[in-house]
Amino acid sequence: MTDESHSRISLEQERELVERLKRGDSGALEGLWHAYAEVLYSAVIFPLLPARDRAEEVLQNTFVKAFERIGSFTWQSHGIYPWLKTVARNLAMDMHRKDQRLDRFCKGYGQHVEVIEVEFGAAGRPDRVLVEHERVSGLKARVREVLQSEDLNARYREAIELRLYHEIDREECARRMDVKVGTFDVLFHRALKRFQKLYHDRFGDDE
Amino acid sequence: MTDRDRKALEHDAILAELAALGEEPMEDDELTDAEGMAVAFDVLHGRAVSAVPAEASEQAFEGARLLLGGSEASALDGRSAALWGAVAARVAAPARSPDDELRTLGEASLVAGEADAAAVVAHVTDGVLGQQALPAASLGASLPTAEAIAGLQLLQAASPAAELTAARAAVLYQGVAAQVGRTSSGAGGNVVPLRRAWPWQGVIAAAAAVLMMLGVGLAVSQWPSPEPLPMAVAQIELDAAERHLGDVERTSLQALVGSSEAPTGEAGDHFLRPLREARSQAMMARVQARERRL
Repeated sequence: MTDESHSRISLEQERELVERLKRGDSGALEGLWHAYAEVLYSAVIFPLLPARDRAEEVLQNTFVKAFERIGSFTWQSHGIYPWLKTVARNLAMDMHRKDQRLDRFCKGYGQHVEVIEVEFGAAGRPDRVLVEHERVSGLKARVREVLQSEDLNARYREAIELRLYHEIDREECARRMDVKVGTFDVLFHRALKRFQKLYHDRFGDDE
Repeated sequence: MTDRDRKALEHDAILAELAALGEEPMEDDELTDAEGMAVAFDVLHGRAVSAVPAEASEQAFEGARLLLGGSEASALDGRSAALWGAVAARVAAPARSPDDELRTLGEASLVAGEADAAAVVAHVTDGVLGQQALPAASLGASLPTAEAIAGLQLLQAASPAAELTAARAAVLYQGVAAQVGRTSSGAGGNVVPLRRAWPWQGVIAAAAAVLMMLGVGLAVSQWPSPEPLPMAVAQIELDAAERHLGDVERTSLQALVGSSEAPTGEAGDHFLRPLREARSQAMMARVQARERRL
């Protein structure tokens, strides 16, 4: 989906889709999906729930829930996106709390996510779609800058890229870097810490 | 060469080695014990282990322990040494330790608890990537992992997985459309969210369809290990993997739509397992295809 697709829907069109949904016309959901699925996924759901299969599941359930609850939505001047965003965020957090598989690792990630959610809520996050896109684009650019920085050891960069961006399992990562699995874990851990420090040193607390 | 041929050749090579040493032929369970010993060696050196031979005797593992102890190695007779040689190919020279690696990088040595914290972060990452997670027992709430996990979150937010492609969005929307279409046409109008409740009707037909998809998924996931490919070919493979994942999900969805009865407990697990496996394999095939495209 491109940025263009997000600008194709005007508030008037959006309002019309919402009215159709309220009348039970499920076909109207597709217009909202085209307008908001990508930004909800990349800017709202995935940052909270960075497991692709679960994030996709929450995205689907967000729109099913929206259809189910559209009767409780009252049209606002800024459209339906803030409401969809709230639904998505609540479902993502529910997934963290309830899903047994995620529960195995939410002790680490979930606790961290809950902390930043509170911080974001207190700061008042932007709700406009284009602003969200700019925020995500800015974050990606900053991450790339730090990743490509000479301050990050090449071995650390390799560990991050293999594990996170190529999604290769630990054993294979270790084999490719010619170390034991336990050593790879340490390298990856150090790589994440160093990345976080470099990012913080350059950009402060920017997301 | 079939597996049977390969095993026969290995068997003949071991017998020849023993004969050259003037030793007696190998006993039936001796190779199993040798493999068990190799596995034990792998475990002790932190290497991946595919499977521990179920028939391996305790003596095999004790033998490995003695070998690793070093001081008792001289007590091994020629027979044991020959068997050890037969499995030595599986046990390459030990790789460098974490401290050796960090020293090479000019980094500070490991501090107390850091290896455990690294294991926790590895566990979290496994979960994030939807991969086989480490045992939960490795989690430690008090370990210093917050900084690394904050870095993980930043990096993930900028990863390819954070983007929803148009093709993927189209596949996902089909699931939504099927769900809300059923809701709007149903008499009661109650939505059955995609994973909240599981229907039970048509299980046999659904299971057959899923098993068929599982077979296709296996074929796709057993592509050769990733190697660079021409971009166009790699893209075609990735598109095929995306389509296959979509097919698996549609098949699963069809299996799950149409009943209000939700199997729970062991029955539910039994029903859902092939669906999960098919989806997991399809997702793995997509990961491999994406890697080949890079």
